[in-house]
Amino acid sequence: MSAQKLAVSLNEVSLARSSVDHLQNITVGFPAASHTVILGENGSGKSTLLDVISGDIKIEQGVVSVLDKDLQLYNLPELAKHRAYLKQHQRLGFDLSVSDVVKLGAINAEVNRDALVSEVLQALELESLRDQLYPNLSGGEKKRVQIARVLTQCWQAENQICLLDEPMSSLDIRHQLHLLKLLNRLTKQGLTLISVMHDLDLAEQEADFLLFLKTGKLVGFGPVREVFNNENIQKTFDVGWPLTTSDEKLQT
Amino acid sequence: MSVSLAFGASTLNPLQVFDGASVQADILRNLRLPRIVAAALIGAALAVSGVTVQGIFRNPLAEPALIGVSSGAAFTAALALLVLPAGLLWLDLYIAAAAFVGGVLVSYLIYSYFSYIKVQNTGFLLLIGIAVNALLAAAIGLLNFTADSDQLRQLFFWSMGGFGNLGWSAVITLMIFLIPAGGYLFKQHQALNALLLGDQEAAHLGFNVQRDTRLLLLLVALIVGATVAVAGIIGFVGLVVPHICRRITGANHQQLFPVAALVGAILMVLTDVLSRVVLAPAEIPVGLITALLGAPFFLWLLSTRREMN
Repeated sequence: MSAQKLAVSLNEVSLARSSVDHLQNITVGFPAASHTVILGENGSGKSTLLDVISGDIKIEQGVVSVLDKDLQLYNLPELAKHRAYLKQHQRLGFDLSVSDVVKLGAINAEVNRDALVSEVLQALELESLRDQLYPNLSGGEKKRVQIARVLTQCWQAENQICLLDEPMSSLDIRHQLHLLKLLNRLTKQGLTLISVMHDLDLAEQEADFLLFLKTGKLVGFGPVREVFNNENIQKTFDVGWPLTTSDEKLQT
Repeated sequence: MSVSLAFGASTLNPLQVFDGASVQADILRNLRLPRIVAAALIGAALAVSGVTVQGIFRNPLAEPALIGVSSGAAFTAALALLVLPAGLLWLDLYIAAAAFVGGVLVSYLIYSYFSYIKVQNTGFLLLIGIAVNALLAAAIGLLNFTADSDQLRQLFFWSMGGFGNLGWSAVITLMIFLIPAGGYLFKQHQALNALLLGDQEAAHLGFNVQRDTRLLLLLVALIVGATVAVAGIIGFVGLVVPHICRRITGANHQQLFPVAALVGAILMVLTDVLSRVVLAPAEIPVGLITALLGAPFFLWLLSTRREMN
């Protein structure tokens, strides 16, 4: 698969709400079968950008294309076959079991659902929890179950887009590394992954592309080795990289 | 069912149902049996409606009455009793039709208003329901004010719910509504499971949440409207049975629906037995018993549960 092919592209996308510009004139293309990490300060529009790509938020200007088709032309079932989305916060109304929650991700699957769920549970080391009730799990376990649900939806990888908003939060270091390895494997199989992360080290190590966002404006986008530099990090976060204790802003 | 067949104003052997042309067989076949079948259908219907409404709102406090179907039905039934056309032949059918139309119409109006104010949070629908229920309760109070004592008595019994005069025609009426609507509701179990994750998450899985919610509420309004029309208002079943059943099966609607239907049916048949034997030969309205037993039971359930957290 050519790295040049774009799975998602935004063309002059702007979004303003209650007189605040959430996204300003963003033009960017996310290459297929790769992992792009969005970096930015709190409130810079990272989650809003994922909401726009997922179709949760309708844009006022510009065009979003998903797999070479205008996002607005998709209906919900069609979009669900190509796009999975883990929002920053998850909840669950009543006591479903772990396997019930993960199985929801298999609703559109054309393969054996139970086999698919077992495969994903195994991949995320959740097999021993499969019959547990979701509300009884720890915060990190709940997160892994929700990640499993979302990955189940795009497990086929080829022609699939997965949006993950802070997937690493509340995971311990071992599960973070384990998840990154799994995500890496899925992108090699064709999955287009767009995630929001706060850990610059992890982003540098694991992403193929980085997108820097500051107050709704695109600061920089490109392959990690080209854009992960002091200039972009300084522009995005107002801190120098690598972080040093001599940094004035951190000292004050 | 055998227990329910046996007990009543007089105690009979359930096997007498097969006993040719005896008076006992007649009582069993044409009075008790249809009544039991109707009670089971209504119990199942209310329980399944409760499961649906709680699932849609992800709220353990929701019950079918909160979407206005009961108060709407009560209001139009009261109105119909007060403006009775002269020379009416089919009084029961007239009241039932009025109740059914009122129940479905008020649910529809509540949902339309919810759509009109354009909020995303389905919790608002419950708040609208509370306001409309209070409004209709006051309106029914005003109607009572103008009713004569005969009408008041009729209204009272209707609002307490009861299976006193349900025959095979009531059973057939119920089946016409409940079987297709209930079957369709069961087919929506995946949508309801997805809704437990939240409206947006359900949409990400490909469900048209607004359309599905509207459809589910319409089905509940039809189902509850039919039960209210036939047997009056029976509270607490739709609230309590889903809670009991979630403890048995968990919250997966694929299992929850059939178990709730079964438990609802059994509970309602047993409640009906109580209503007939406690003060025999007089009958206590079933709605009174469900409230008398249901409310303390629900309070106990609250003290032992996690779901409210």
